[in-house]
Amino acid sequence: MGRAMSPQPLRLGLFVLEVEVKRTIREDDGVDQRLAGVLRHGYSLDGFFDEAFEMGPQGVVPRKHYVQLLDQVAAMDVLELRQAKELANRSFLHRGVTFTVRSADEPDTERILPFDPIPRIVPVDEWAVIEAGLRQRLRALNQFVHDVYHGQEILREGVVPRRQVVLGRHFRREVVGIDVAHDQYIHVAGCDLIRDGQGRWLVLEDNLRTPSGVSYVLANRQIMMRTFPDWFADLSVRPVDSYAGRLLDNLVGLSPRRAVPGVANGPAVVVLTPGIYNSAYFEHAFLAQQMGIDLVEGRDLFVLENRVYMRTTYGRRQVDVIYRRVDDEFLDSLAFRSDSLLGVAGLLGAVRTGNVTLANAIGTGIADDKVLYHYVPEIIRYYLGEEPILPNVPTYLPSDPEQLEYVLANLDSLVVKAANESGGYGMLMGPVAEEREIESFRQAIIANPRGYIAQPVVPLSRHPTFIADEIGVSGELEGRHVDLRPYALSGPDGITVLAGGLTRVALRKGSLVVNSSQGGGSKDTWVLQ
Amino acid sequence: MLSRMASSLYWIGRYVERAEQTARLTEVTFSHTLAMGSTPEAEARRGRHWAALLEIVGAGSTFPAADWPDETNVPEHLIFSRENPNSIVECIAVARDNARTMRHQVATEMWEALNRFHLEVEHESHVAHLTAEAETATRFCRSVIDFSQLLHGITNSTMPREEGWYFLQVGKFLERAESTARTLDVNYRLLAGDDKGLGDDRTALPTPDDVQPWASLLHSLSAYESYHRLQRRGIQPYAVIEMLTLSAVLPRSIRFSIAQLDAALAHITEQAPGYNGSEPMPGSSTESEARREVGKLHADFAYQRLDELLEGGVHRALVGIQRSCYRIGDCIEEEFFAHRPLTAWQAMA
Repeated sequence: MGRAMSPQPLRLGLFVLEVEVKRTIREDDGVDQRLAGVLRHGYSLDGFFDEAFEMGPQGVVPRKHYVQLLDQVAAMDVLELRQAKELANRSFLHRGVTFTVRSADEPDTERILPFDPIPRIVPVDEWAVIEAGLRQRLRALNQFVHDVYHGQEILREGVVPRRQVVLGRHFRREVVGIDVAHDQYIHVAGCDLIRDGQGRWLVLEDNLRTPSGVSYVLANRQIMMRTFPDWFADLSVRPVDSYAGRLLDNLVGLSPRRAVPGVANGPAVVVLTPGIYNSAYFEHAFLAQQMGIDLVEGRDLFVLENRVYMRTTYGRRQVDVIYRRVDDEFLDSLAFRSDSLLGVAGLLGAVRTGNVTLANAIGTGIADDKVLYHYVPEIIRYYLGEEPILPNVPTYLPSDPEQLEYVLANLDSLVVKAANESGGYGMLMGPVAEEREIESFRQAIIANPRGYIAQPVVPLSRHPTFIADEIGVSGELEGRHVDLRPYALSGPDGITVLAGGLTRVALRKGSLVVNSSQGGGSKDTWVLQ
Repeated sequence: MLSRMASSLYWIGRYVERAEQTARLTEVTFSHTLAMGSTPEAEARRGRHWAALLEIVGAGSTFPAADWPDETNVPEHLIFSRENPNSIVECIAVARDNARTMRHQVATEMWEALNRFHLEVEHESHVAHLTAEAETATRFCRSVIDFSQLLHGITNSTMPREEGWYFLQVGKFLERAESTARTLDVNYRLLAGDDKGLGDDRTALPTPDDVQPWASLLHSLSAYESYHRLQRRGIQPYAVIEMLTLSAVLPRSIRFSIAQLDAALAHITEQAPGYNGSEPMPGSSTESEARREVGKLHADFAYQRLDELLEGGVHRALVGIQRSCYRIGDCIEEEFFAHRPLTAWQAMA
């Protein structure tokens, strides 16, 4: 038995939060503590840049574009919110929206990416900058990859040192001189963006090989619209569901064989997956389903006279475009790793003769090498004659003797990353690392300076996140560090950036590591119109 | 359709049917053996029934040789064991993995039903070590049967009647034909004696005083009520054998299963290689050997009489069916799913 009372200010620690919160009061015994909302104990910034709150003259207040949402969230019954969150997570499990976690001493387990119901909002003006910045970056990087595998102008002019490129683990000399459709290499990109202590957007890394996570963007949005339809009511949130259609259009546009009017069987486009044991398998299946195309494994394909075919119950069928989610090294056991069972023997020959197009093209990994990342601002200036819109995080290269000295002297305050790892593996967090760990990285860096980079620790921005209490009845909002991975598609008609992206959140208190393999979760991301 | 997808559907059909069949047989063996009493003689009889069940579901080789089969260890082995590749949890896990490889092509409802049941079963297998208790085991078996029926219902009402559907049916009915043949075979030898079933069996079986085992057999195949309705008489061993082999209307009889198998394969082979934008594989034959094998077996059964079957020996006939089923399975693998790399001369052809 409750009834809505008139709005009243909510006590927020020492400060008074000027949000109008609709509280439900019980008539018999006064205020029901449980119903006092997820902000009943206030919200503290702890000196970080927060996405949703800022310090006003009288204390912590929500940022303008969050007022409406936080009103709704705070007005909700905590238990209800908690149950909604659990329901959403269970629904992910039942639908199999999972990824595989691998560890040496345990069998592989399928886990969901923990979902936090409080969405992240990006206002339209900020988004415009992000979008322009990503387009600029990808245009330049695409030209860079083309150049590296053709004329190598940029290397000859010394803008990027040749050795940094040819020593990169993802440099593929096998594709030097091979032309690809529309000179396009990076069809799908997922660059990681972060915000520093002042709220400036920075590019943390470029994922230009087989970036994953977009399926969670779509799945998160679906579940949000189903679970909290009211929250969307008065905000105009840009939709994300055009992604699959756009990707399909781009892929079909890459086909070497044109669709013939009147002939039903147009170009065959497929998604190539390493199989159900791959950690991103759900995504591969999801995208294939959304696009209505076949999901194939290497063993479903074979190459004959430089053409790729798939095995069907009625014989073979020629394949024109492969959206591959298999890494370069495993694509063709004749050209790359001979022990790979995931690829198709002879595929590189089919690529070379232009009978099949791969997305992304072979060799894009050289542009998301963490050492090359350091040169991206120069790369943008070189090809486009423009200043970078989105800055990099300052990066030290131990392969430069002077910088090596600096890095070694400051290991306890830097983040060190292996140049060719991803997923948060091979990383040293100097300020929280143990002496032993720092020592082992020191030795590793000295032994292989090209293999590492170092960056200052960026105090990632935080976002209010629903943290359930341990006894299972309540919960409240606390700040947790987040990043953002927007997805960009490049096609014959230019670059489209999906309005939204995957906001990853480090659920462990104080943690700066958002990777799903390291205890990260995700949030829906709303770009406003 | 991609060969691997067809293969996945076929194996989903087989494994779900296998899980259901194991559940049915375990349930019935429980109820049948419980009533036997506890004399040493009854203990021995009970053991024989559990051993027979192991043989029917093909778990004889994985069951620990040191154990004397009884209700404390056989159900556990057939339901939860990870050592037994045909245990119910394993069957469901494999079916679910197969669905996962093609979840983009099956209806969401079908995938979710399989995934949820798999998660339930996995959970159950962690908490239930008490399967020796008849009640837990039978309840579990019932839930497996219910699940299988649910899945049939979902596929029935969601899957387009295209290739994929027919591959699912092929798997289901091939498994069922083989399984019914084996169930009947093992029970026949158990009830008539091991020396029977090889020659003229027309007079091998006296009408036994105790028809309970035959009733159990009918129960295990959901055929008990149908038997009475169709035969209009009390339980007689020959009539039971006739029903389970030659009935054209009983959904778990061998003849019925083969007819369904034949029909499904006919749909699949209606289109010749080259259909739907494909070209024939170099070196492949245009005649379907699987279709020929099934057609032969179907014709055989459609025109057979009980006395002919008995004349040649029940055991012999049932073994013959099982062999045909293996052969058909091989042909299907070879024709539709084979992942063999092309040989050099095929590639050059």
